[in-house]
Amino acid sequence: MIFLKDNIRYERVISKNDTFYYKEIEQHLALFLDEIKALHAHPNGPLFYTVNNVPFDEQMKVTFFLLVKEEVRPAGELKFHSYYSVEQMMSMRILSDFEANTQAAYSAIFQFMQASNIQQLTPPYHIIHQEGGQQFVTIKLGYLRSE
Amino acid sequence: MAIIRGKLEFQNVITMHTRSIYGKWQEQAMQLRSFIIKNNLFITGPVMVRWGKIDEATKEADLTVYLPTFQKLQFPKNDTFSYQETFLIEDGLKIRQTSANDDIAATEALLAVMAEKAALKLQKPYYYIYLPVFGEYILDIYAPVEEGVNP
Repeated sequence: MIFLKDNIRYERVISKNDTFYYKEIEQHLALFLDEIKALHAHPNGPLFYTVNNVPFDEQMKVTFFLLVKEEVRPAGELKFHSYYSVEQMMSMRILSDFEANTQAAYSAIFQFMQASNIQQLTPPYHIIHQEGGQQFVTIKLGYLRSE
Repeated sequence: MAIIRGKLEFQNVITMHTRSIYGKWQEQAMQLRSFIIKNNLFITGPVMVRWGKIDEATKEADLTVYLPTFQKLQFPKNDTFSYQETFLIEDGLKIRQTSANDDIAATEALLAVMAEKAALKLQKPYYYIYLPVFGEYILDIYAPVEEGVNP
């Protein structure tokens, strides 16, 4: 099910732009989290990331984001955002079989946009939730209604 | 309401310099939003505005509207729009007003009291950050602490 009235609204977010071979995402994610730990910042919400290109050559351009409790002075390629928000987003939740269901979610979202005369405005955001020992992912995409 | 001391930081900020009747910023924010979208970008934060001195005769004031975007944007230099990679104020007091329609003067008076107690000097004009919630706005007021005059 595609939910049309979603958004992202967070305070105190650290981000990092990164480029890597798609199979190395876990290592680069771990590096991002280590860099945040080195700042003595503590997670305060979900990790999320955007996929900023279509990885035809298996190279992914990604931006990682993490909510933190503290206002930190970012180091290296980390950036701090006092507020991070994106309005007017559609979303789909994925509860299992993440790789296959992510592809299916992308397909459903893009078909829906085409059928509804809606224009994609943002790259897809992948929000990774951990609740009660279970992990699930929400895909969110900002859109514009065509005039 | 809690008053928090800290920094204010945004990335890839587009700024619009204009003039408006004091209190009326929504139309200008929409203009800035359109400018950003026409340049194939999107907004990644709440609207922030800052007012200059009010002309008592016309009730108009200089208005600066700030919106952070997803990545760098280059455009020809002009008087209306400008870009900065990082917007950062290192030190200030922030207070949250649960409705943007409440009396801003009263909230700012509270800030002034806190600043005096903490022996801080605040620098006007303040920044107003509008956070959309259930069809309305919550307002965060950020008052920069003046450099060099505080403990």
